[in-house]
Amino acid sequence: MIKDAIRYIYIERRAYCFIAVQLALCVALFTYSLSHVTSARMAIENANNSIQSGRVNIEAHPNNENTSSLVLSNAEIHSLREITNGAFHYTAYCTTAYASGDDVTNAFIMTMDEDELSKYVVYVSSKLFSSLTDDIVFFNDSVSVVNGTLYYWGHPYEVKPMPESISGRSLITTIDGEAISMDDVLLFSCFSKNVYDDLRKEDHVVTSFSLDDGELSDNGELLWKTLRYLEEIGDGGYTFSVGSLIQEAAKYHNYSVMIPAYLGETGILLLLIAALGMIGAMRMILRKRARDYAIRLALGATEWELIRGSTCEVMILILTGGIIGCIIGAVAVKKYPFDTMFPVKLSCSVIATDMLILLILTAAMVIPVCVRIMRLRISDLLHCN
Amino acid sequence: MIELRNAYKTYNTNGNDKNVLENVNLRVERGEFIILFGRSGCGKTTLLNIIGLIDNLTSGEYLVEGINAEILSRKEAAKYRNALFGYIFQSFYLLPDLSAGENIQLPMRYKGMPRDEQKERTKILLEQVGMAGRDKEFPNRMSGGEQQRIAIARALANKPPYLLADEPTGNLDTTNRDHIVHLLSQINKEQGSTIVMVTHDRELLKYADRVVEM
Repeated sequence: MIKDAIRYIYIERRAYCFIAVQLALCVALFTYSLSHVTSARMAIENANNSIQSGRVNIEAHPNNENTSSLVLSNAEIHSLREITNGAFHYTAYCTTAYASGDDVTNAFIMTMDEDELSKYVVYVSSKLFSSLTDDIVFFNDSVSVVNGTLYYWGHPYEVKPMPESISGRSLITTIDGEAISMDDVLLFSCFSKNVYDDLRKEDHVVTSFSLDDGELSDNGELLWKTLRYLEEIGDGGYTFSVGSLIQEAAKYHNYSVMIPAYLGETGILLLLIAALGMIGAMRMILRKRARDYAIRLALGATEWELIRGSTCEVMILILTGGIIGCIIGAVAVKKYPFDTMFPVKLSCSVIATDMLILLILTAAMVIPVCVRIMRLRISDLLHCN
Repeated sequence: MIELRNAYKTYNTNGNDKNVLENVNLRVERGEFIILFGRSGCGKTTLLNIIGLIDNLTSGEYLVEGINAEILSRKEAAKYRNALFGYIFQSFYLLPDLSAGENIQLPMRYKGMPRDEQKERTKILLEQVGMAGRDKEFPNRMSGGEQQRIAIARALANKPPYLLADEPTGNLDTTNRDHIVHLLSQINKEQGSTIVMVTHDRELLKYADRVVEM
């Protein structure tokens, strides 16, 4: 049966090659897009979880620009914590510009599970490496330096001086030295004290703050106090806006979900067009092969045997095209992810969806074949009348 | 034994019913060489198709080896077609993408014969039709006479008791025609196979035990 199927595929190799390539491209695009869509959904879910925890975001805008960039000293953070009874949180991340060249003095910590951290190495500038002292300023609650060792949530973290060969986008690597794209992780930064002071003057550091709503059941008094203190630090050069993570989730939607979602829809549309093309091609092939089937039936084959042979043929075709498409899609997701704010990963659900679609496609191609074979009239096809 | 009683076959073309077979009664005993003879369109091939379980009667009764063919399921019909009948067509109908040997093996495959046995039997059949050692050749490299010999070998593959030949010499020159009919006659005599042959060629009537004129 398989031998017959392979023989028929070989006979119709041109049509089948065309179908397989078309299918592979569609599945690749679909896999690529769906990976983005599912990753985006996961990011939104995470954001929604944070929303449910009720944090309120505060953004600082220097000179009324639409960016948030206020740098806090350790003492100021400490004060804010005191004012807010510990409800004040902050994160800081720096732009790619800071992550280029050896003259910068910031380090990068990824936000991921503690267990994951041991798999990565952080490179810092040689200047910062030599000055990893307690006198360093971190823009994150969870990072500290004790006796020259970086700690993240209390876990020691391997830090190495940045080799000259490493470019701005390769500051974090796996232990094996494999570069990790900066786009895949949310970064925190830290600065040596003197650089921090310079940066603060130049408004180079992007920061954002938030308050737990557990402490906000006071008709906004805590928020009001926090804003007044932040305005003092800003020295009149800043305005502050109060938002929530709902807006952040909306941002994910606007910038990171819509475009991949369109790609996903395009992928589905292309897959449908390809499916129609494949069904059409299969019908054409069947029409050509009708007499072969009639001869086989006259020689004693059952319809079921012919259906099994054709199903085998379609499955070989779809599995080949589908698997190649999945591989191309997976490689594209890993190597060329869409410029997103969240890590894009190929998940099991994407593979499962691919498999389901391939299964539906197989059925869509096999059912007309079955109907046609069941309707074959041997005597008509052999021109016996 | 094959027996048709009060057999009718009607085709509906453009809304009009046309009786191709009308009240046909025919009995074929084992070992006979019968020729169905008549002008084109008189229903010879239709009758052969019905005998070979390729087509059904509109009304009447058809018994093959005592079994009523009209009540057979598709699967049963395929099984009987494979075991009882060997079909030889005017246009040979060898599968062009299979070699001569593979073409001959098809009915054996559908019967479920082991592969080694299939190969052994193919060799014997090729010798029998005078095509020994040509199992690897493809039909498009063969002459019409050679293709028909392969078709005969294929028809004999499962040692069927009945050989049905539909104008087997229609596409052949006179030399090849004589060779093929002689071969069929030889198979009838030596192996005792029942042969039902359709032809409109009067020259061939001499080979038959009985001629049924339609």
